[in-house]
Amino acid sequence: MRRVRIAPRPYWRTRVEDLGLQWHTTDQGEPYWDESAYWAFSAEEVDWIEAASAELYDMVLAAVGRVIERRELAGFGYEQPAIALIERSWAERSWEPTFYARFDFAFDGEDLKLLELNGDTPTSLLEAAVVQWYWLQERFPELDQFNSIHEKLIDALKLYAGHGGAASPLHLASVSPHPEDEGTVGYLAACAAEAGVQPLAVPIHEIGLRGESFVDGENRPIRALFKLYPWEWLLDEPFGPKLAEAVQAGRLKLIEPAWKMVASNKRLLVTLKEMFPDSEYLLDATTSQAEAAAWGDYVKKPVRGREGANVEVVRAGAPVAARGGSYDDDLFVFQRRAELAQADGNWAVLGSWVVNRQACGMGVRESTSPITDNTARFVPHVIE
Amino acid sequence: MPMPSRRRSASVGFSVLGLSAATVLAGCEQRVETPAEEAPVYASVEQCRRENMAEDCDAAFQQARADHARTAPKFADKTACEADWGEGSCEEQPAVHAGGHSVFMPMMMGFLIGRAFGGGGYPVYGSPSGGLYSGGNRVGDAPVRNGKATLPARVSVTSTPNGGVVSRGGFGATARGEHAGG
Repeated sequence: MRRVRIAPRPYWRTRVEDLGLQWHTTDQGEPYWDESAYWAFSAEEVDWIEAASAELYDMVLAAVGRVIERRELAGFGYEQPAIALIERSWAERSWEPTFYARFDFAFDGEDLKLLELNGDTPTSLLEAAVVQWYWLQERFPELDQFNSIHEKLIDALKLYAGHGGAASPLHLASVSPHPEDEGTVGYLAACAAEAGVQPLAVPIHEIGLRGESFVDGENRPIRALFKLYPWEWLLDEPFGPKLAEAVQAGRLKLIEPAWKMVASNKRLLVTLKEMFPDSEYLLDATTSQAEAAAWGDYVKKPVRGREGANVEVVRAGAPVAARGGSYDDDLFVFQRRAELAQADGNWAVLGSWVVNRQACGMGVRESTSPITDNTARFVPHVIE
Repeated sequence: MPMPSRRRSASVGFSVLGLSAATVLAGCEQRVETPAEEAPVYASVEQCRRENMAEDCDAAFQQARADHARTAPKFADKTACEADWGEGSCEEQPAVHAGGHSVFMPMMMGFLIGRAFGGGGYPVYGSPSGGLYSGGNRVGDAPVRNGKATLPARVSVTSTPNGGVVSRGGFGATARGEHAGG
């Protein structure tokens, strides 16, 4: 893999806006969609990433199953009713629709290591599935890209439609106004419409409760809800108890399902390492700070954190980078530090997408810090 | 160089691409306008009876009283309650479990009759900031006089096909408007 500098398309802003990417520039005026460079991977590297993603997804399912069967959810920070919801969704997982998940990998061409999995609320979806696809089409039509995300999403939604999803509208909720989250949900809504499912967008704060039932801003009943909003937040908020009741009673289906909380919980990294100690893709992980201190180089992460919040990078026993955030009272895990790809003063993390259990594409996020957060730039890729 | 197999989507084109997400959604939504209903508000059964059948008023009042005990916002102490609802506007919850501590709630200021809700009565509460609330919903304005909320004659409430007042705002607080994906 290598990073190649290239002149951005002169009209890139209007082009990406036409595709629905309104959040191409940060509030600080820095590009978020960054086509002043691209990453070039060999076909062998892509095969490797694809195989690792498929294998890891199966490992994650096995680990989630074990945690639930051994009743270890309290150790992941969950209480009732979250535990009951997770158990139910796992027991009924064949009927619980799931659309997508994203692995984050450290990959430098030599080692491929799992950093974490976002199985509940992954974003950078439109960027990966659509915007970089059009970039390739215009820049390097003769080259390929590891990216059939869009096709697989449509397939997943057709499957959902065929299993009863077409019978009632699919509500899609996000924070609003918020260009990125609304744009991501808007893209999924367009995929749903393409697959024959009626999409209805609803700002998360407009969801209403009428008696025991949830309704949207226009008082239409909500029966299936895709939420770009973490399960943990939903359950903690005032409507949480009623939401738990409605889901438990089968009156309301949420996508992603509750077991995805466990898949995304970084405590699972420790379980994975216990179950698959010889996997080349897994870094050492522990709940013991003393054990991590003995390694010298490690990363401390809140188990339910997102966007790099409250992450601390320790090198040779000394903190070299840390991010604040609102997860300081969470449980923490310690993961041995991995080398991220570095070039031109940037650290790169690989996001590998799994749709319908199929590894189907990737996106690269770059940051000038070793901690990847929500301002990390999205940089397109090619296979050469 | 021929590709052994394609790794990318054959096409990423669907009828709606090229439009902004907002346009997409506007196009998909079949907006069903639910008309707001004008609902009369009464401070007492007597006032209600001057305009309506006596038995309708009695039933609506009974229902509102029962709803009040069950659904009024609850506070651990009187000070906290009065901070939101105004001095002298709170009462102790009548039935507390044996040995339990007292719980305070705003007094029911009156009740509204939702005809489109099947004529049911709902308790209303006025806040010193001038809002009229029912079922956790702001249903209208309560004109403030001398620092106290007063009852309007009518309010507009959103009616729903199978009845019941809709409460909102129970989700979204954690994000505080920030990104919730990851």
